[in-house]
Amino acid sequence: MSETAKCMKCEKPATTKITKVTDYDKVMEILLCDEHAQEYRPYLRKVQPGNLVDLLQQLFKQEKVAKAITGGKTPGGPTCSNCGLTFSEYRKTLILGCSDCYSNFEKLLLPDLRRMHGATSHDPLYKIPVEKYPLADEQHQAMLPEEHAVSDNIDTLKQRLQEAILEENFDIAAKLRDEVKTLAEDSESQSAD
Amino acid sequence: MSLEDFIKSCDRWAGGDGPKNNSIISSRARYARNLEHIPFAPRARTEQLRAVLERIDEAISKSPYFENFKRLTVSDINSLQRCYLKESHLISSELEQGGEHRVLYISPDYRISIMINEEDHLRMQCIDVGFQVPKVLAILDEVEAELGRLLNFAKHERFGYLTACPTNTGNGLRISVMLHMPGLVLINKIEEITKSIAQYGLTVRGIYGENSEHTGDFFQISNEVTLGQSGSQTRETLESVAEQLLEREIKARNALFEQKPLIVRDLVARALAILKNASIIDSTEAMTHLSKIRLGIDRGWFEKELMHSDLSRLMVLVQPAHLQCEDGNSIPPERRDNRRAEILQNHLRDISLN
Repeated sequence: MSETAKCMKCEKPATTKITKVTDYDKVMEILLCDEHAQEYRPYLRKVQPGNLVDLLQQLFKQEKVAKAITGGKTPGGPTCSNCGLTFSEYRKTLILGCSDCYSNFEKLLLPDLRRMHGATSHDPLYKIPVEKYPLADEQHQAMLPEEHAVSDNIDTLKQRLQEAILEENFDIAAKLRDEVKTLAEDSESQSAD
Repeated sequence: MSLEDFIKSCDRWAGGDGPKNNSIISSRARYARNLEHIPFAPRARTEQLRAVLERIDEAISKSPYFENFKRLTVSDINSLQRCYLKESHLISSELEQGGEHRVLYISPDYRISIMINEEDHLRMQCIDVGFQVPKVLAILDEVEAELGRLLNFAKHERFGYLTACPTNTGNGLRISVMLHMPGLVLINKIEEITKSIAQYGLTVRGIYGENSEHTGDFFQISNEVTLGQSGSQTRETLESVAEQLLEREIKARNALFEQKPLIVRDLVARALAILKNASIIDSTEAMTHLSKIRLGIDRGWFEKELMHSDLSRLMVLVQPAHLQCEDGNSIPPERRDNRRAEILQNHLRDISLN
């Protein structure tokens, strides 16, 4: 296989490899393109994003992710059930409304937290609870009843793909990406008949 | 004690000597905490801010730990007095702006200050002279534990303590150390150092924290990262970097003197001459010259007449609010620069180079 490695968050060629130790014995290698590597670690930043076009692009991308997660139903993205702050309002000031915002926006905050702190949880060994994210772990997947193990709906899969990318579970993300591809091809060949 | 007198005494924590105060002027630690569900201060409505204040006031009144703390309502303090408190490092630039339902609690020894309804519902800090990070953190931990016992701080199983700005979430801890580094400034090493400490998750700010400049060769080093690290990890990293910077500053001062003794002598002599003889001097110029005097004290050129703590005190006295509070009234800008010169002359009248 002479294929060049691709960025795990998009289709561009990967230029940076980051090695991350998540549990005592689990080592992750994250392959990223220039742009996503800069988002990941400010210390790796070569060019400051003072460019208005860059900032707008970042905002736009964040909103795309927010839409993918909520299925694009609410304008402005998810809203905090307690104080009413919308995600896009948050993105303008980078200030949250109340303690409940953290639970309401949880996954959407991960890229910002990663960029600010190089971490997404206060305890480095934090494990995402099964109920919140059924596909988090292959072991969890095996323990769940059949109907939760695989989802047929392409929109749900796309949503889960975005979540997996936000959580940086790239093995799961790769599997989901393949499933999405397969389903998309299947539905194309079906409509062609 | 009148309000006026109390405020004037708020910089007393800075009197006297602290460890390594030839370069490390002060050490400070603060926690940011919020109550659950009530919107954070930037988004809260007036009645919500009032509710936060009532809850915290009630909690503090129940605790013997805070019995002798002085309570100040920010809107009762005029802008000159607020500026004075900021110059004394007891309040942030944000709280200096004033605002409704904002209250300040200060300990009898002036080392602990608790701000209510700044950017977060609670900002508690402890400060002391010289290099004393473990001590200020230990005292602050006591304050946090006591307040935490009486109130329910907003916390998330994943994100730790929750704050208005995600940059503070996690342990909500900011530790900072104020360094005076005229040596490194003179040999042009500051930019290189600023860049290199970023890799430790630390940042460099000016004398009054965020959005201030590096006037007088003061540099505040603090941690940027609060998520994914325990308080002790942050403390260890910061202390180790501060020690390294201190070492480099001393080396710079020594190298300067060893290699260019006449230039150093001349710099200090000229600085002293201007400070003793000017009739008008603005704060930037005063700070610039006072900073050079530090090099002279290190070399023992003033014997016991001028110590490091005396110089640090002078650098605070020439700040705008300190200047005006000595007289008790606002002084118009033109007159201020003259008053500053007078104060400097009074303090340095009998000081000369040996």
